[in-house]
Amino acid sequence: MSESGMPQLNTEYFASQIFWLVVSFIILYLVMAKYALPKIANVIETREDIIARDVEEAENFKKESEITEQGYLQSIKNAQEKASQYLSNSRNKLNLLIEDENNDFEKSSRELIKKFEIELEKKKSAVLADSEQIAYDVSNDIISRVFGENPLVKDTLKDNIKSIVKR
Amino acid sequence: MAEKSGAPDPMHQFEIVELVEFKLFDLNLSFTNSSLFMVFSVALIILLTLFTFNGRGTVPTRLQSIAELSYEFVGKMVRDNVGDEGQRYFPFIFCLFMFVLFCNMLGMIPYTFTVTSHIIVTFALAIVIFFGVTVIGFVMHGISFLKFFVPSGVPKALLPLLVVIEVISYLTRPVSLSVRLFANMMAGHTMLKVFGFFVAGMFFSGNLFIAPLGVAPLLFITAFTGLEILVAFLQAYVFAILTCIYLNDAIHMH
Repeated sequence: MSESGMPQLNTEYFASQIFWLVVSFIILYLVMAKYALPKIANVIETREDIIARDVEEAENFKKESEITEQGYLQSIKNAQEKASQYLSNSRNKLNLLIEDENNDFEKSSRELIKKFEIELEKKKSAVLADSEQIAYDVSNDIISRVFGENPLVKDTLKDNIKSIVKR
Repeated sequence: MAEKSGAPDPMHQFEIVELVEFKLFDLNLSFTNSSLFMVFSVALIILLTLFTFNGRGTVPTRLQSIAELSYEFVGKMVRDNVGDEGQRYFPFIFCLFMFVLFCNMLGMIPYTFTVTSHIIVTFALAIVIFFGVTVIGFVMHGISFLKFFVPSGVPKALLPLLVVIEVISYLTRPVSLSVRLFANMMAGHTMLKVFGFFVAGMFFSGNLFIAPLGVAPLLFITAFTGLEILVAFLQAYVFAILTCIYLNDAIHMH
């Protein structure tokens, strides 16, 4: 045993310490270099590959979703445009239709009015003609009943009646 | 010998104890407590790096993360300090860092033995690094590796002196490397032990005035244990990074 008080300076176990240091360190080195370190490197590399792949995949998905979103917005825009176009188209059509119907109606009503006017005129003249005849017949009847059958009177009377009726 | 003076000996913790006797050609190669903790460290490192991996999961387990972090930590250290040519020596640097780190950290557990608190162990590591690096330097640059000791851009008159200084500083590398680690570990552990004795001695002094004051060294020793854990890591890091720097000198000169 060392008498210096510092066991570190006791040479008795120097050989033993060096020997076991060499043995344990060589074992450690062999295991690390042959098995452990390649394994750790492999695990880390594999993980980095997986992460890189996942990131790439995520980016692709993002791009895809952006494209889809754009398509979606575009189709909404298209649909809106189409809808407004349809709306204005049908409004125009409807207006035309209404105008047509209006025109038709006006035309037919004008014709009807004309027809009725003509007929009215006809009826009026017919009634007038009839009234002349009736007046003549009635007065003729009265005269013949009062004065008997007298063709001379009859003619002058007829003329008189006519002029009266005409008035 | 600890009880010689009546007071406990703070150096007692560094005593080598023979566990299994083993002699080879008159050399005492017995398995000691020091050997035991070397084997413990190696076993723990192997367990950590080899048996914590569950398949090839994308999400690492906790222990697996520790192994991967150490791998990337040392990997970055080698890449930054030595470059791509250093990748060949990465396994060695990794083993060196992990071995020193685990020996230091195991030593922080009470009643354990700190392998790296013995100069012979750290010196053995340092001398292997020293010769290895020198051999690498000569293999890569041939005889022109000697230019390493000739600083460029200095007056010719000063050159002999500077070459001598450069050679001496190169030769003291293994000494400074090993003494730095050994002295840090030994000093820290001795300090912990001394203050531990203070705590125990004051608490059980039987003096009503002194006993409560034992709290002071207790608080100190608590903080100091944290510092020592930091030192344990830092010294392993320094040991590994200096090896990287020496390796870089040998590969790239300067």
